[in-house]
Amino acid sequence: MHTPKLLLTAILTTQLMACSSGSPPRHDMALTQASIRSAVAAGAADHATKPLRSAQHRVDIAQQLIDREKYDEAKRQLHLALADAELAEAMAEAKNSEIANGELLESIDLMKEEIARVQEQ
Amino acid sequence: MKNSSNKTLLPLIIAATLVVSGCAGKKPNTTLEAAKATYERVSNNEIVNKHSTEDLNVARLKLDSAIHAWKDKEPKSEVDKRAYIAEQYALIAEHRSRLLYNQSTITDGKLLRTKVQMELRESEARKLAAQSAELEQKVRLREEQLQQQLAELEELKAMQAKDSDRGMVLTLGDVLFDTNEATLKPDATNNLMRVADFLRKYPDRTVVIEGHTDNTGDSQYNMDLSSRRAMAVKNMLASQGVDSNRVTARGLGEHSPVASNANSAGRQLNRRVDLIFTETESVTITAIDE
Repeated sequence: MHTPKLLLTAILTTQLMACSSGSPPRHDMALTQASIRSAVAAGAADHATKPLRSAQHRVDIAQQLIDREKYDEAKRQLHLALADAELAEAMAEAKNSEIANGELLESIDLMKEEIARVQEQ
Repeated sequence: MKNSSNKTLLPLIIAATLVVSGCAGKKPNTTLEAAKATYERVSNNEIVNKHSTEDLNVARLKLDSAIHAWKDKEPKSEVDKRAYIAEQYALIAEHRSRLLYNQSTITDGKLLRTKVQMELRESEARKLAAQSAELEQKVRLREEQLQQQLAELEELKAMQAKDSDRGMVLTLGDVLFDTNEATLKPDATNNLMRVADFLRKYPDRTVVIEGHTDNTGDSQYNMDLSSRRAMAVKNMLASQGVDSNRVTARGLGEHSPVASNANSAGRQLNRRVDLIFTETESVTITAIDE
């Protein structure tokens, strides 16, 4: 009676362990790649080159690790890549807002100059 | 037995304690230290504290998780990972604050831009109004001038003046003077009164008086006689209040005949005084640039 129960526990434990490190981190991969796409869409290729490259590089490494079935290490790289990608997007958005702000202020300055010119005449 | 076992165990316990405390000894993790420093810097940033406290809180949680991993003696790779992520999130908080700061500036800027746009339009409208008033004034002035010129022409025509390339010319025949005389006949005075009235009415008008004779007699005498006759007309106009500056008198003698001197009818036409009413200068309307 005791032996089958022990055996079952052993099998279950092994399967659980297999689950925790034995399957490719598809969800993390998808999440990280979506985050990279989002950063690229925000203009990270121009305005946040360093963190974007880091994220892309880590995804490449993660893919190689998945190919070699080193899933835990792949997952670790994907987590780091996700942080990189999110930083890249935040940097690009900040840069875009700076450009927009600068252009707005410039257009206001131009109008003020125009007013001065009109009033001079 | 108890004592001896205690004596042998004691060094072991001390050794074990040393090993454990060695493990637990706070050996700094460089990635974690970097993350802490970055968080410290970002959390002291005024703009971050004003605009992205939520992002800063996220970074704080990530950093706490890294610190716990380190305190709980989790593997270095785990501490490194969490510390790295924590540092990235501190930087994210910093960039988010730039974004939010700029967004608030842009909101203010758009309001300002609208105000400035309105100011620009108003000043342009004011300028256009001024230009149009100026133009209207010029048009009105020009209209008045043209009306006056028209009235003048009508009056000159009524006095039998003829249009010529020198202006309107009023020819007074030989009825003004007796032969060889330069004194106006009483009848002539009536004739010239209309001219005097006209010149008083239009004070901008100037007139050139030219005396002419036929070719009878000495040419120099004729020249002199025509000059004196022109001058007599000028003096008559002056006596009627026409400023001498507006009147030019000259004699041309027999040199500008309008008809043949071969017969008496032609000679009669040649004996004359011409009054030439030159064109007055007019105001020009200049186009205004848009």
